[in-house]
Formats: sequence, C-alpha cells, structure tokens
Amino acid sequence: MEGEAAPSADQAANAMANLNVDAGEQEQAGEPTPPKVELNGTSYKPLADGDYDAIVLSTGLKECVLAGLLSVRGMRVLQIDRNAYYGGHCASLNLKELYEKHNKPFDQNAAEQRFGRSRDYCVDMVPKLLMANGKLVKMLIQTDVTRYMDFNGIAGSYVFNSGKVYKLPVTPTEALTSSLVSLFQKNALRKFAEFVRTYKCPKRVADTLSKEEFRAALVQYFETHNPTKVSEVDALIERFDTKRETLVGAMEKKYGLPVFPESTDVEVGPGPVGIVVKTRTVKKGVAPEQGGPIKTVVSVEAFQGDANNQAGPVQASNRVAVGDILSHINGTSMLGKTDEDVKEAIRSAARPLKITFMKPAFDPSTQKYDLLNMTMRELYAKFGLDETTQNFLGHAMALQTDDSYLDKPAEPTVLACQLYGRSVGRYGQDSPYLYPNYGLSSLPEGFSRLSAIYGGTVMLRHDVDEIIMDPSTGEAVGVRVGDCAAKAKIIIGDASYFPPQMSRKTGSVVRSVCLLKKPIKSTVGDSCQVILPAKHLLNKKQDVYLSELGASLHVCPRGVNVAIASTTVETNEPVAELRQAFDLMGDIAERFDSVTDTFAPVDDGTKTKCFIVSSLDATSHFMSAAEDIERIYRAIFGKQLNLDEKLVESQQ
Amino acid sequence: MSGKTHHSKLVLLGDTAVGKSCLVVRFVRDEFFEFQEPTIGAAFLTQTVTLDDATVKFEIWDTAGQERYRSLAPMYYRGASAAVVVYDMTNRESYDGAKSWITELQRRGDPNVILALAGNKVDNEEQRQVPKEEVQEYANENGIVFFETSAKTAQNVRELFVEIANKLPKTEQADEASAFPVTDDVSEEKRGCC
Ligand SMILES: Nc1nc2c(ncn2[C@@H]2O[C@H](COP(=O)(O)OP(=O)(O)OP(=O)(O)O)[C@@H](O)[C@H]2O)c(=O)[nH]1
Ligand SMILES: [Mg+2]
Repeated sequence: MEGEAAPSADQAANAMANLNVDAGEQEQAGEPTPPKVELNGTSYKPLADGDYDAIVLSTGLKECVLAGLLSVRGMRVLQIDRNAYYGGHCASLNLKELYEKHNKPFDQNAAEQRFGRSRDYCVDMVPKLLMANGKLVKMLIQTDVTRYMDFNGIAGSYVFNSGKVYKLPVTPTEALTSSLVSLFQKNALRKFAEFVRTYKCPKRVADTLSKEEFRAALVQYFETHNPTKVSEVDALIERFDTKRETLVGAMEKKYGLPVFPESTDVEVGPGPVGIVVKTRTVKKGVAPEQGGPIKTVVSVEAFQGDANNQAGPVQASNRVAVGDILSHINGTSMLGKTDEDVKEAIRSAARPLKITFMKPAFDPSTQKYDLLNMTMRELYAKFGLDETTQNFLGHAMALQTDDSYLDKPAEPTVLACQLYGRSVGRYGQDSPYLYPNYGLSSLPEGFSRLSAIYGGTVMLRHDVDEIIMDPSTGEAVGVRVGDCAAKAKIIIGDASYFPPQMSRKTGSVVRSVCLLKKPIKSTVGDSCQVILPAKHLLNKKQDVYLSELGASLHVCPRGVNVAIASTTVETNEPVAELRQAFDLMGDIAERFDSVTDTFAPVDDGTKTKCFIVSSLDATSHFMSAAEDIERIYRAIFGKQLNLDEKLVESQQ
Repeated sequence: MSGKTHHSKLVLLGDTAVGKSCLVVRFVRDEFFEFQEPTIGAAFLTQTVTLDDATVKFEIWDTAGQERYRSLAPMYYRGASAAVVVYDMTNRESYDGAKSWITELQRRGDPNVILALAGNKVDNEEQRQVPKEEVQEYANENGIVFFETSAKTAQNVRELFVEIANKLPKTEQADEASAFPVTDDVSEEKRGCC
C-alpha cells in the first residue's frame, strides 16, 4: 500500500466495474420506496441521505479542512469530488500520473529504469510546506488529525541573494555569523531580532467577534467620539473585512481611546486612594453637538504610598498600571473630564467607592512601538536595517510575496517573523517547516477522515451537474448529480463546481516539477525551501519559490530529488520566469511545466450560501491557504475560528 | 511473554451494519451494546495482544462514512499490516460485499498484508444465509484467515485477533524513526530570535 497516492482513473474505473456502484443509487437495503428530495418544486431521487447541513464540493485541502471543522461542529456534511482520488487540484501523483498529467508519453520500463518505481512517488501538484507553529498545524492539532499522519522536518530554509543561496539566519548567533548580513548590519539585525522575539502582541479582539458584535462596538464608539461617522460604519466594515485590526488601529489613533476597552474595577474604602492623576489630551473627536468630543482623559501618573509607605488600594490591587485611564467613578463617566474634576468626584463620593480603570489604546510602557500605526518601512528605519536585510526579513522570513507590505501596518510582518522564529526547531527540525510523509494529499485525506468520523459522508467519482438555487431568495438550496439531488443549507467548494459568474480569475501560477539526481547545491539534507525575492530576479515583481523534497519524506525513491519551482505569472513566457530557480537546481533530469489559472469568489458567500474557496497560490507555504480557511469559517459562523481551542477529545 | 512490542495497523472493512464497530468495541473494551449508536469520533482504537514470544499493539482503523461510496482514502490502507473484512452471516449480500472488498484490497494493497474474513453474528445461527464451508473454501483458496464471530457473545473475537497477531512477521520495524509526532504537548521552545 506504500506510496500509492492517488488511484489513477483507469484503476478507479475498474473498481467501479468490479463493485457495481452506480452514481448515487446505492440505497439502504430493505427500503423499497426511497424518500424523494423536493427542491424548487421538482422531486429527485435522494443523493446519499438527501439532506445535509453542508455540502462540500471537491476534496482539495481547504475543502477537506472545512468539511472536517464543520463535522466536528456537529453539522451533517456530504463531500463530493468528481475525481477518483483525494486532493482536487492539490493531489499527489505517482510517476506515471505525473507524466500523463503533463501529456508526456510514459514508457514504464524506461522511466522506472531512470527514476525508480512509479508507485514510490507522491509528487504534489501544488508544492507547499507547513510552518511548524503556523495556523494549519494548529488546525491539525486541534482536530487530532495529526494522529493519522507522520510528519518530518524540512532540512533547510534558504534565501536567494545576488545569484547565490544563503541559509536564513535565525538565532542571534547566526545573525552575527551569516555572510548574508554585512558587518554594519549585524548589530542592527541583532537588536531587531531581539525586539521581534520579545514583542508581546496586545490582545486583538476585533477578529474574534461576529459581524454584529463588531458593528455594535463601532457604532457605540462613533456615537461617543464622532456621531457623524455612524452612518459610515457598514461601509467601513465592508472595506476592512479582512483587516479589522487596521481599522481599529486607525480609529484609536484618531480618537485616542481604545475601541475595545480592557477595564478593571477597584473598590476603595476609607483613606487615601494612593494615586497621582493628571489630565492628558487625547486626539480630539469632532462632534459638535451630542455631548461633544472627548478631548481629555485623566490617567494614573504615579502611585503614592501612605505615611508608612504602604501601597494604596489601587496599587495593591495589582491590576492597574501607570498610564491607565480613570474611566468611571461609581459608574459615572470621567472621560472628557480634568484631573480637578476627578479629584472632586473622589472627595465628594461616599466610601467605599468604585473606580473603573481602562487600559489606554497604546501603552508606551509595554509597547515600544505602536505597530498598528506605523508602517513596516518606518519600523525598519527605526532599527536602521538596510535593503538587503529588509529583503530577506520581509520575503524569506515574513513570507511577503511582494513589497507592498512595506507601506502597511508593521504588526502582521513582525508577527510573521516571530512565527518563523518560533517554528524553527519546534519539533526538533532545523528549519521552520514540516512536511507530511507520502505527500501533501495526506492532509486533505486526513481532514476528510475526520469529517467521516464525525458522521460525514464522502463520494468520489461523482460530478456535480447543477447547484440548485432558489430563485426567490437567490440562495443555494442543494446540488444535483444526474437525477439525484441532496439539500443543503450551505455549499462550500472549489470555483470549478460553481457557475462561472460566482468567481473571477485572479491570475495564473506557473509551476515546474523537476526530477534531480542530486540535491540542490549549497544546501544540506535532501529537502529545503529557497525563496527568491523578486528584487534579485530579472523583471519579476512577485517572488519565486523553490522547494525540494527527497526520499526521507517518502515522496520519491532514494537517489532522486523532486524540486518544484513556482511563481505568479507576469509575462507571456511564464516558464522563463523560473529560470533562476532552474539555474540553482543544476542538472534537471526531467521537467514537467504547467500553468494554472487561479480564481477567487466574487463575494463572501453569505448572500448566495455558496462559499467558494480561492485557488491555491504560488507561495510554497500554507499561510494564505490557512487564512482563506479562516475567512470562509468566519463567513459561515460569523465568528473567528479559535485556533487554540481543542475541538476533539483525545482518545486513549 | 517477552520480546519486543510490534506495532501493527489493522483496518476493518465491510458493508454497513455487519458489526465492524461492535467487533472493535468487543475486542478493545470487551463490551457489547445491542443498539449502539454509531460511535462518533472513535474510529481509531488500540489494543495489545500478548503472544508467547512477542507483544503486538494493534492500531485499529474502523471505517467511517468513507466506505459507503467506496471512497476510502489511500491513507486508510497505507502502511496497514492487516485487514479484517467483516460480513454478516445472516445476510448473503454482505458476503458478496466482503468478497469485493477483498478484491479491492488485493488490487490496491501491499501484497504482504494479512487478510482476514470475519463472518459475524454467528449467535444468530437460525438465520444463517452463508454456509461456513463455502467461505472456508474461498478463504483457503485465497490464503485468508477465517473465523465466524459474534461481537454479542464474544465468540472467536479474541481468537481472530490473536491469529492475526501470530501471523504477523516479527521482523524489525521499518525505519520510521525519523518521523515525529506533532502534538501540542511539545513544550514551546523559546529559542531563536525572530
Ligand atoms: N446479534 C448480533 N448483532 C450484532 C453483532 N455485532 C453487531 N451486531 C448488531 O449489528 C448492528 C450494526 O453493528 P455495527 O457494529 O454498528 O456495524 P458496522 O459494521 O460498524 O456498521 P457501519 O458503521 O454502519 O459500517 C448493531 O445493531 C449491532 O447491535 C453480533 O455479533 N450479533
Ligand atoms: Mg461502524
């Protein structure tokens, strides 16, 4: 059974003949008149059980992860794929299938003589690696899918710079010794590295809220700070759909107070409160009527012990820090008041009194830089990092695909660098990357098995003829396969299963699978990732990715390496855009080129109940794929998937 | 009672309602529930069999919703050293199903995999539809381990798994040592910089 990744079509046809299974007609024994499925007034034979919470079309990675998550959440899921194998566009192929897929004649004897047994190959159609501490691994762990698979580490992570490959420096020692880093940069890089390592990201709650909760919070905030903006809330939410934190950061910068205040109450008995307060000006709001803008707040300037140097009640609570804002006294708002008002309020209130403190939006005592309100370009400048250093940090470590990140808020890039560092050696591997033995299609297979264990049903070899929409609501209500149909509340899937107007082409990706007889020069081990930032390439705006896998990962026989180069297509000669990756590979024994169009949905699917996944991109890691899964999960449930929550109970 | 522990992945196959899950539960927990709800989230159980000279730890993969339309993922078969195909001896159709599962296993699987047939529900003798001799002959021809079992009375359940354990090659484990478990209980290592 080893090594057979995707049963080929003819094998599948055999299986069909042998087993005499007809599309959708296998019914439960002893049920003479099967129930009918009624959709839009037409009645159909039931497809499988005929009625589901969700139907998932294709067994691609994202589709399978979503099928698994939905099943674990208690939804009844039917998964359908037109192919005889798992994986959809990201299947893993044996050697014969690799040749056939690329329309190359396959002479079994000759090919196996050169490259070893066909069945020992599992070549990914979409090459990607898993970041050890990344979101996809978290999804694998929270669902226990890791128990169905074996992982190995990728040996090395490299970056291409002026014609050569360099190991990415990760530890402070490597930063000091790497020949990639110029003498003048070493100290700056070390400082930046230390900043990234210790950066404590404040709790960002915006993404955990449902759309309604988020909307309510924004409305309330604008009502206080700038009521004229309330009418724009919906447009803002739409525009910043995937970047809520950026919106929140901008609002806080403008109006000076946190959108999601973290508050704490302290009860004060008789005696001194023990704090020094001071009026601070916050950015002015612009609300002439309706209560007026909040121009000032009163915050804790210092703590003051009593005559015996005993800490006052506020300091003793250990929940208030210097810089915190006094927001309420006995429930009355102090926002917009001055220190004199506050002192007077404390003097005149009966004891015990309740003081509410609020963390400021940006806390200079714990955060050196306000990373939501400064760009990455500005942060690099603060540390004095030059272009070469910026280039490998941004592209090879933070995995940005082009330079547009430089002018966006710095926090996501800093967090991506942090993720990289925390992934290195997480499971004892030398790079930040993991890879599942026998190829990436074990990922969809594993999540699909998860779905099945939680009651899901899977049908391969069934093409969907129609997505049935209710014309009165414009919502999908089911799918039709031949004269069978199944109802569903939502339909998730690959764009190719839906009417063409529901998705749009976003571009093309060129991928080149190369069989090598020797590992890539100047790398160690038999597996690695090399990122070729566009800056160092001829006429490229988007980076080129090169990943190499070897026999230790059970994807090919010993003595062979599978190297796959990919990039987003920018010219009429896509394969030529990979030439510098080919140069690095040295002698290429066989090459298989392909260009695939990529698609994205035209909307988030909440109106049509058709949730379409975006095609996998050219990057050689799962960052964007995991984010797309999160996006769809949020569109379906209205809430962010909590990656730290265990979703299944571990057995035994 | 000594020797090494051999790990063996064992997959269960067969038509629906023949008693696959009940057999596993009987073997692993020595329990039987007449009206067992389909066990949610438990398609992966382990049980150890102690032989005279070795111990075999079975990792038992029960099917779950992928088999209904013959959509089992390759990962299900991959690396399995034994497969138990179950039919219900009170149901002729399920025996035909069992034979086609065996055909598929022989086609897709590793030639070294140990195949076993279990004619389950033998406690229901009066409703028998599949004669024992017929299956025995088929099993002998194909070199397949064969038992008539009852998850209800426990008849031959242990015997079936012990026989498989006996037949497993007790050679050194294939070198899978390089693979490592990815779980959340690995301590968060605070190394590296950014
Ligand atoms: N009399 C009798 N009934 C049994 C025996 N084993 C299982 N059953 C009954 O058969 C039914 C199906 O058993 P399961 O173990 O769920 O069958 P399964 O093969 O796992 O079915 P699927 O999970 O649907 O593929 C249950 O009602 C059991 O009580 C047995 O040995 N004797
Ligand atoms: Mg079962």
